[in-house]
Amino acid sequence: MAASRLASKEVRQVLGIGAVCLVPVVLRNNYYIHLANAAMITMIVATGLNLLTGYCGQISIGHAAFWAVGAYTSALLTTRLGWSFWAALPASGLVAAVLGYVIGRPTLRLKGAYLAIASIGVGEIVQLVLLNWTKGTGGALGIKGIPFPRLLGFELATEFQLFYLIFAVFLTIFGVTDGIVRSPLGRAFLAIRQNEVAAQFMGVDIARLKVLAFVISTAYAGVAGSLFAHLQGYISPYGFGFKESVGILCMALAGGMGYRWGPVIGVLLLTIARESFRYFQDYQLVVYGLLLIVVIVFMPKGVAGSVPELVDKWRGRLRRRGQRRGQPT
Amino acid sequence: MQFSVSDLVQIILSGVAMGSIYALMALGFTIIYNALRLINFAQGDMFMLGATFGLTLFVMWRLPFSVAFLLAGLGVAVVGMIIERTVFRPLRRYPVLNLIIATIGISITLRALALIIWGSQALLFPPVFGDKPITVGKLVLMPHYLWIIGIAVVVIALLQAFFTLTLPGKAMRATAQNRDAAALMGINVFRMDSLASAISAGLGGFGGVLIAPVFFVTTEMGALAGLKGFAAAVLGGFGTIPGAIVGGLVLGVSESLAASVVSAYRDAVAFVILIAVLLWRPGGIMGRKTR
Repeated sequence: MAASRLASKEVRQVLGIGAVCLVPVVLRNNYYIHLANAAMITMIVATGLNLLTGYCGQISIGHAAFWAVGAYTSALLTTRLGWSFWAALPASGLVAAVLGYVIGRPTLRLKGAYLAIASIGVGEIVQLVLLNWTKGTGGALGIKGIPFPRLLGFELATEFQLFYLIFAVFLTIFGVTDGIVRSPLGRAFLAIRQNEVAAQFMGVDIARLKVLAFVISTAYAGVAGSLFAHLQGYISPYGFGFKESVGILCMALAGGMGYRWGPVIGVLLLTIARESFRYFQDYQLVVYGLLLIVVIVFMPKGVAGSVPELVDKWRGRLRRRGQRRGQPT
Repeated sequence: MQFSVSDLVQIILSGVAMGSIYALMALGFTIIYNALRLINFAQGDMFMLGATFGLTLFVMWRLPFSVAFLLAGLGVAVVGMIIERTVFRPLRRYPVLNLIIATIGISITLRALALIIWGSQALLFPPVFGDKPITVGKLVLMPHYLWIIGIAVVVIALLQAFFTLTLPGKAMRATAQNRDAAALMGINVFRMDSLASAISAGLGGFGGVLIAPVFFVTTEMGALAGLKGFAAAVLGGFGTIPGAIVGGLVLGVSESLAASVVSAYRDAVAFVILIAVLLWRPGGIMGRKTR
């Protein structure tokens, strides 16, 4: 019984991965594949935020800064020092994580929303440095000519080819996150979110683990930034600001914080929403903002959390109605 | 770089003027936080609405500036009240993060609506406070800075009188201290929420109309102003009224001083100070030391 269930789970996983691999073949249109690539990169950042906020209960409103740090690290290492993409990718994650540690260690020992506040500040400072430190970062002009990744002598230069690279990285990160969540470490994170004092009494080193959750999430953002730089081939300080930090947080929350599929659902939902609202032209952002408020008001646990609840409620109502009909006999 | 005394006075004066605007913003954050325990990221957009309302009333409808100023502030207060009634109240029992994201949704919506109404171009607000500098001995002073400081002082004094002298003001403070006890004493706490939201939005609005004649009016002007007002509130000690005022002034003056030395990093000053305060004195300048 257990063995067959395991087998069926693996079969489902393989089928799922196979289905995603067909996505670019089905989409065909380069623009759509590009959107899918950008969405997967955003999912990596959102997965980190889900670990930090959904599982560990800490809020960061400046994650785009770590994303930017990853992107610039990778861009500078490959264009100035001639590193290969494969070395720059982990290095970007590492640099972002070190910055995360420097910010997280002092602020997370305090109770309350200090990380949220500090992260806003970090977000703004990083953007201003990228803009004004012309020698290092190219200033407002950004960095051009970031090379495409090479694999076995081939250059991955099209959206189509890059899709599989980004998907592989996303899959790894998704798997690692899942492993963390199921491990004792993940349960300790959950304990912190639910009741800090109780967690502390059970011997959880809350300050250290909060920092760890933050560092992991910033490392994810750094890796995502590296992929982003090599996907675009060009980066500038614009596009890593408060708006972007908040945008990714919104996606993670709309999808459902603390649910495995939350970040994936949220990014897909809001990306598709934003693209289809282009039809409304000037009103695009009005509709987008209203949609965000509606999702928060009617699905406070996000799609992944609230839809199953709504379905249960609906089913229960149907069942009750059925029972009532049966009763008179 | 050499500064004469006159330069220094001017730098400090403009710093105090900007500081009073930050103080108004910070008070807005503080009042709504005390009532609803919520960081309102739409506060910057109240600032923007104040400026755009003021522009429409003063330039298009040709009302005198004093009337336009009052009506713009009141108009923004009404917007704040509507937001409380339609968004904050239904969300009261949800986690804080949901409320914060809802305020971000409001911010996106308002900014997009403003873009449709007022367009994406920077609009010029005529210099109502006169553009001829006043010379006192060797000092050269810009009149609009003096007006901004004067009006901000009046607004803050009125606010203080409201909180200490009137019954609704006292009721609001009681609600902030202990919501359940206040409700048991017969205070309509929901009405207090509405009032707090209106006052905090109105303060943002007044800040916006005051600054409009100095800078251009754009629909994006609220973004940075909102973050800086928030930084000022934290800097002074989040959740306290004197803290918001002191934080605003300290931020304004240090920004002005820093801008005269390294102008490119002018906007970073607020956030560097913010992080430094969080590291060494998380309770803020006026706050108690908290751990």
